[in-house]
Amino acid sequence: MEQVTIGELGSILPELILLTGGLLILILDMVQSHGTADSGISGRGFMLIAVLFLAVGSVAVILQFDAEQQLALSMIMVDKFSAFLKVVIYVGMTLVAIAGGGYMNRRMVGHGEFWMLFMFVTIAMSFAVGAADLLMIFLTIEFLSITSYILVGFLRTDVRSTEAGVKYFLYGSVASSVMLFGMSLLYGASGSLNLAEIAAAFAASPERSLVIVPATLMMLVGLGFKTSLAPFFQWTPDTYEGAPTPVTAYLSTASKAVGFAVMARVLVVGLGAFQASWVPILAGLSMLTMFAGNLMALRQPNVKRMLAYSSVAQAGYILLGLVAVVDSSHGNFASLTNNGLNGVLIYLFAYLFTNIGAFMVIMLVEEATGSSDISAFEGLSQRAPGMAWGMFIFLLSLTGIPLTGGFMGKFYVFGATVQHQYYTLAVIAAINAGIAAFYYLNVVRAMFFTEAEQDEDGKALPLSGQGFAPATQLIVLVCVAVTLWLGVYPMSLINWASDASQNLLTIVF
Amino acid sequence: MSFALPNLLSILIFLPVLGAVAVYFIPDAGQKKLVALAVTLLTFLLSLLLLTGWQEGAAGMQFVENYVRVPALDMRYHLGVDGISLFLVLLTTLLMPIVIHFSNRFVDESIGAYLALMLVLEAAVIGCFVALDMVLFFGFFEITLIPMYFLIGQWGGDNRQYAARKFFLYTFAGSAFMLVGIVGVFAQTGTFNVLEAARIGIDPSMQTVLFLLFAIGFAVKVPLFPFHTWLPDAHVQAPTAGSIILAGVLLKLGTYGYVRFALPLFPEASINWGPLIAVLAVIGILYGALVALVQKDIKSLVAYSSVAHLGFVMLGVFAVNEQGVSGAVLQMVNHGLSTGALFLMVGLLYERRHTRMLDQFGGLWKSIPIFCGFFLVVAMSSAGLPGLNGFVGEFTILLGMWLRQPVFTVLGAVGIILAAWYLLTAFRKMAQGPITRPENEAANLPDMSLDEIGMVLPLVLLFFIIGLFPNLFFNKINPSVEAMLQEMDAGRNAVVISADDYHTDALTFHSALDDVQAQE
Repeated sequence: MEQVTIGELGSILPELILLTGGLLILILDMVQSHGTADSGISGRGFMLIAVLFLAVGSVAVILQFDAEQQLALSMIMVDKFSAFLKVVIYVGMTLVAIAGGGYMNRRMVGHGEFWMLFMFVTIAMSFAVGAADLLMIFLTIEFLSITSYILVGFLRTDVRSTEAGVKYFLYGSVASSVMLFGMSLLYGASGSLNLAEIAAAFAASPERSLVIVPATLMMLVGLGFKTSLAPFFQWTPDTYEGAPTPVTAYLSTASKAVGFAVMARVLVVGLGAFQASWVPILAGLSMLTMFAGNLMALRQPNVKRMLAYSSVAQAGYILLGLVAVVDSSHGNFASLTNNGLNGVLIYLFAYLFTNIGAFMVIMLVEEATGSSDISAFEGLSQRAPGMAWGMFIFLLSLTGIPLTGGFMGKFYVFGATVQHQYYTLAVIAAINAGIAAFYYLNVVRAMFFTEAEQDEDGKALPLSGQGFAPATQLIVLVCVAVTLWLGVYPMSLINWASDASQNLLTIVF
Repeated sequence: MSFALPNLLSILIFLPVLGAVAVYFIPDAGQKKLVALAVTLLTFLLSLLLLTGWQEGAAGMQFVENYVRVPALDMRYHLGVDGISLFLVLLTTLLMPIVIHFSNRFVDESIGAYLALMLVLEAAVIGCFVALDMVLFFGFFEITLIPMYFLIGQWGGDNRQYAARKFFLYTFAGSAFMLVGIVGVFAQTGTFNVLEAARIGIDPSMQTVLFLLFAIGFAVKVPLFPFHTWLPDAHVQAPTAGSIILAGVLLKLGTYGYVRFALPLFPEASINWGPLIAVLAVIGILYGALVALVQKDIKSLVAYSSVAHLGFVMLGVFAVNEQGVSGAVLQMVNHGLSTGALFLMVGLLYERRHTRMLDQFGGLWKSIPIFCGFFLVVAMSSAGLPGLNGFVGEFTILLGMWLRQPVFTVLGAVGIILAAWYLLTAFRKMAQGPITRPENEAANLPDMSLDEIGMVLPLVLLFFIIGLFPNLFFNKINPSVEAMLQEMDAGRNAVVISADDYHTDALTFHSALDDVQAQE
């Protein structure tokens, strides 16, 4: 075993910062719980600590972006690809913390625990995107899952939250064990846990590659569960609907991004030589996922549940990008500059702001009306015009209308798909984009074309039970701004994403 | 030559956008209306600079603006206008002040949002007609959907939500295919610039797939039979101004798309699949006309007549020769003027009587003669009476199709007869005979006021100008069309040397091979 030096810890600085934050919250919580209930640090205080450490962590990640690529602690790759995803995760978690923190603090008991777990979830994700070793992948995914189970079921008094947690846990534990079995097959055949060494081992003795297909399938069960691909998505609607909305927001964005990042790293770095085996699997899953998500979303009367199914469908689109890493005409990896991975990253980044924004609007409506059914959105344009327009932009972005970030994501993913000659897939994706417009538009219809409840003077009742939380409104505004900015001027994101994706793909060229 | 404004096309796009923002934030409703009208009028006047600065006889793009946007993929902010798009831009800028004025008179509900959406729509439509980058075009194309969706859904008739949703979904679904097609063209040629892509050419084996992807997207917009079912719903439910813009310019995005994208990018596939599209166009002409014949609601009659008229345009486009395509381009403008005017007249009548049912009228000639006079001229223009604009376009199109495939011409001509029939029937039911209802008496029904005449008159004058002096227009349209067709031919000849099977139109332009040699 190699000696871990202090210097090497520098490369996991962002995670160490988060760990410090998490432990600080834990200690403060333990110290004060001996005192009286109303003294000591409130939920808001913990939230501020979390946001502060997330912000410092983000700075550390940005510093990492220009640093030399290196393998830290022989298990974690610190490269541009992981740095890109860490930014996605940290930014996403910060947005969720600021926007949803107040909502959580008002509802839960045990503030310290929540914010500690919130930090730990972030650490798990942060390690997972860099994990270059099967064991590390399993540990981080498992860490992420277990902390997420707790967060999903955190509102103990809310039956649906508890139910959501249990469902998530039951599905998740089965999926993890199947994934672990897949990993054991790879380890058995190659004799190594390190992805690069696995690739080398299979290259040296091709006769062992019989295990590739079953192992890939099994690992995709676990990762497909995290990214809610069909047919492993049944937990998604129940969990998304039942979980506290801020938790749903990160599950559908940051946590999903992690699933895709790990999938990309395993497939490209570990099993890059066997693209002929996994491309058809991914293509099939993608088609299935798009149709399953979109068709189920059509009939949902609850907006949160509809967005859950829509996020299943979005996962299908994102998966297209991973398929299009390989060119179908010559069956080999596509060129470095025009590959689908680039699109995956752009999509994930744009989707982050869009979806968090959408869930935050839902959260506000839920708080003000007590429901997230489509009927709660009726007349929203008269009752809360700002929120209605914000939601409108997010829905446009999810539909993929130009001038929004969602369009850029779809454009790049579809683009790579067409460019690498998966015409059937592209046409199916186009059909699905059409289906999806239908249910997104339904929300727009409710918000703008139905009359709001009126008071005696015939004026629409404003929607502000306790008034919208200013922090949440601010984050919605930020999300709108970034969504539009990515649509109008996507240059910097595109360059950045292609840097990151090429960084991962250089290994197969 | 007069003074030239730099970035004129960008100004035409962004002036209405600025106007929309201003209109939305100005507090006073009267001022909103005034500003909206002023902005559209100013846009119209500025668009006339396109005419004064026009280089006569030039085939290529003029007023070009070209800025790099995304260098990695060569996506550009690339605008330009040629003979094909010139009159469509002018049509848009001309119709806009008219519909704004109409709306100012008759719309009161949330007028600020309404006018702002109208202005955004104008910007997006102009953007579509001048965009030369396919992604930019796609962007404008999609953005036209949003204001129109709201205009129908918020200010429309009783069944507006259904109609608005149907309109959006049909077009969006179609354009999703087009997006795949656009990327496919990029994959084949390495550029999003439509002119450049056409010059580079696409492998014939790929042309069919990509052509069909584009064709579906545009067919929904045109709309071509059997993709037309959204149109009657949208038209009948839309507010009058929405109908005018929908029929006047939005439908042209489809036919324009065929001319600008489908023909030059996929010459081989356009020839091969042309007959199929021509068959659909003929079905549309006959079906639209026959359905229009039995409509009781004038607005839906005009809507179905649009299906028929756009069938003519498609027939011209897929004649793929100079007469056909030039005629189609002019007929796009004609249809915008005639059908726009028809919807305007119907709207004026509706505002007076709050009904559009033909059996509610009768004898109007006695009570509102000015209105009926204008209505007759407009109807005749739509029916293609010689001396008016419709005739020129339809005649040229049929001539073009005759050179390609006479049988379609014969069937198309039947459509002209049917058009005269349903329009005259409608006119007879409305205007002639005795007055049967007290509401239709002169005392209860005011005739057209001066400002209403002012809205219709420019359109009527143009009917005559186009009808009597078509060469004013063809002189600008023809060079661009000719150049495009030559390039198409060159593209086909480069692939298949013995491409003489379609040189039936040798009357008008020489073999492209000669041309290529001459250039060398």
